[in-house]
Amino acid sequence: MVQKNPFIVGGPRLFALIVLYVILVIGGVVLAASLERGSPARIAVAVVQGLIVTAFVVALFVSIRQLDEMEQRIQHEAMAMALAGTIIVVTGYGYLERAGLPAVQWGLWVYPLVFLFWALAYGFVVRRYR
Amino acid sequence: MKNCLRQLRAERGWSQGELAARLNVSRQTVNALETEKYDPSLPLAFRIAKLFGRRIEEIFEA
Repeated sequence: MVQKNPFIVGGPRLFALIVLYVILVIGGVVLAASLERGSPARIAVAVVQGLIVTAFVVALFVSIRQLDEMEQRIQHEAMAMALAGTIIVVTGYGYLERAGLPAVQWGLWVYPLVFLFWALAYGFVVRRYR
Repeated sequence: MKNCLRQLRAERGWSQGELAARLNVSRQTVNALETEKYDPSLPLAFRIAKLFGRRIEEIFEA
């Protein structure tokens, strides 16, 4: 069955998943802050956060596989552009870090960066087919 | 790739949405096909040809 594009505002299933994801991630950050760094409880919270991220990515890919062939192509092109943009930013800033700029925790920022580039790239790619 | 999809659809009095439902694709995909902004995969081209009872080369032209 053909599903609507997951980035369209109002897609209830993905929207609910995003809200749940944000609540769980923010809740995890708040909970982790109250626990001692390096403690088993804090490590357990971090593992759960990692599993939430994994579940969200898997759900997103399942959602994309339900799209029709043109929408899948648009998403794949947008993903390729997002990958390229992320590589450029992360690697480029890596060189700047070595030159003396402040260090960034890329482990935390790569994920939102990829999705930012993905959303921007989607808006760019979809115009070619509309 | 040029095609006569819009003409074939009009002959049957179908909307883009109806054709999309029959082909199991989105209405946006039908629109992109008709405006020749998207070239279908071979399986989709076969589905289109079968739906309209034509050969692929009678609908699509390189």
